[in-house]
Amino acid sequence: MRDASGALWKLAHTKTPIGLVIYSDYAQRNELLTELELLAPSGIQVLRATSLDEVLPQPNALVLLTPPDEGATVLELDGRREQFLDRQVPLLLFLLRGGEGLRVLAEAPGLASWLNGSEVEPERLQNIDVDAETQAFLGRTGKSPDAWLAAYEAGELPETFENILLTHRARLLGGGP
Amino acid sequence: MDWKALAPHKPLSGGDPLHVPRPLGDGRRLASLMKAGLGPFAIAGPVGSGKSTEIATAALELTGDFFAVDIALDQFMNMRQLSAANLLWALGSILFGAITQSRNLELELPEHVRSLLTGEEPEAHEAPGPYSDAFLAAVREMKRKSSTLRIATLLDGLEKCPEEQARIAVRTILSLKDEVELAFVVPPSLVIGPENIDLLTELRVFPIRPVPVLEEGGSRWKEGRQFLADIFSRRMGKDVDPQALAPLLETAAISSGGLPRTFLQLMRDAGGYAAVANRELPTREDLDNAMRDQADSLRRLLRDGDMRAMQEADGSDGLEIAIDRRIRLLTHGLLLENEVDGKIIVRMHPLLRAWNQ
Repeated sequence: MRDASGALWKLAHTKTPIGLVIYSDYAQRNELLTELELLAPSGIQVLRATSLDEVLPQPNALVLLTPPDEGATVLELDGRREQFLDRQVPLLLFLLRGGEGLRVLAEAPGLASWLNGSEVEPERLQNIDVDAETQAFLGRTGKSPDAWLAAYEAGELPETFENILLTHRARLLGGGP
Repeated sequence: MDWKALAPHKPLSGGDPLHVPRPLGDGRRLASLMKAGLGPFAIAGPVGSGKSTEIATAALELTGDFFAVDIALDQFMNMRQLSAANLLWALGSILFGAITQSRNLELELPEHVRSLLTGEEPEAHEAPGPYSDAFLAAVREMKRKSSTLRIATLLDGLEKCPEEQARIAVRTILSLKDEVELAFVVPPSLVIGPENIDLLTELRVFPIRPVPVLEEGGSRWKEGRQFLADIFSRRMGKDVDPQALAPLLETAAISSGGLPRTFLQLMRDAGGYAAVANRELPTREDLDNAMRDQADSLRRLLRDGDMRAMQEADGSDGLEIAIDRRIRLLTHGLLLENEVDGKIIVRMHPLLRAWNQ
């Protein structure tokens, strides 16, 4: 399964130009800032910033951006994002879960598309109800995730689109290696 | 392994050796239609479908028949603050600079026109009239000096404007259609629905849809999957043997819904998870994690009622979905259109379908 630290590490190291960290409250945001400073690639400067103008001249720094007005910053970033295309180290934007920044992001399809897959919500990753999802899987397929994967890997299940998706789900539920 | 080489967010310029022709040859087809004078063209498609790359391809294809300029407005302008004045200034100054440089034309233009074309970007609130006149005067002078000159302007980035600004920008661009062949990317909200009927009488819509990757998405699904695998191979170069990753590439292609950006994001993120686990190549588990991240991102964009609306419309033409919702779902690529046997069919994004099972 994915975990929050692994996802944050990947985000800081994948070299995507812009990533998103979704936090629940300011205490958690502070913890995440500290954790990301520790997870930064070696030899890379970490910069805490509050505005995009501070970020632009720093393409080689891991930037942790915590703007005071998250909605306005998302709009500004959407309009200027091509200027950040060649960043060698990500700019990580922090947005409050359920807040204005995420609301505005949902109305900015271009930026949202850039961020797809580069968003980390640590609280969500730490709170997956594996038991409930496993029961639902069992109810749907008649097999536990482990049994499903064993059957899949033994070639007993046809390679249909639906089966590929169910295999994906079985792995996410912790079945198999 | 440098997974950054996949660069999902980076469109290719025309003639880039990394470019892979699409199964339906979209950029080349657009160029053919422009050569036939059938424009102006409004290019629309979901985010990440490859619009920018195909525009650059079309511009390259037009070279020879046209003096073709591919202008990515979003690379130097804030698209949320675009006005008619600074759009006209950008078009005029880029065209003027490019043509005087490459054709070595000595244009006889009044000083005030020249200074508008070579001066600073205007403030957003400035009146567009002088910039429009300067553009027209410059283009006509170019044609006077070079009687065989045909100009094509292809514009990228307007889809990043808020809807009303994009509408004003398109109106502004259309005012130039008698002088230059035009193609420009627009947000889908400008070309769908009855309120756009007036606009649609003045242009042709050129859709750039996801490539088909599922049998239900059209007869060319094998070509669609191969196209995506070829993009991966071209970008990763000799670092990776694509055969070693063939099953993952297949699954990523299916899961992407045929959107090249999503496909590349999935493979890049799978590579990132492999790096977390200190593996050189990603495994199926790594790709599953990447798929989960993508699905989470897509789910965050959903509003109440979206899933039900997409389920009910799945496999239909999608017209029964309320127009505002349909535009939003199509723009975000949550709902994907494919042409199947001459008909438009909509499907929910495969990663949302997987979550919904």
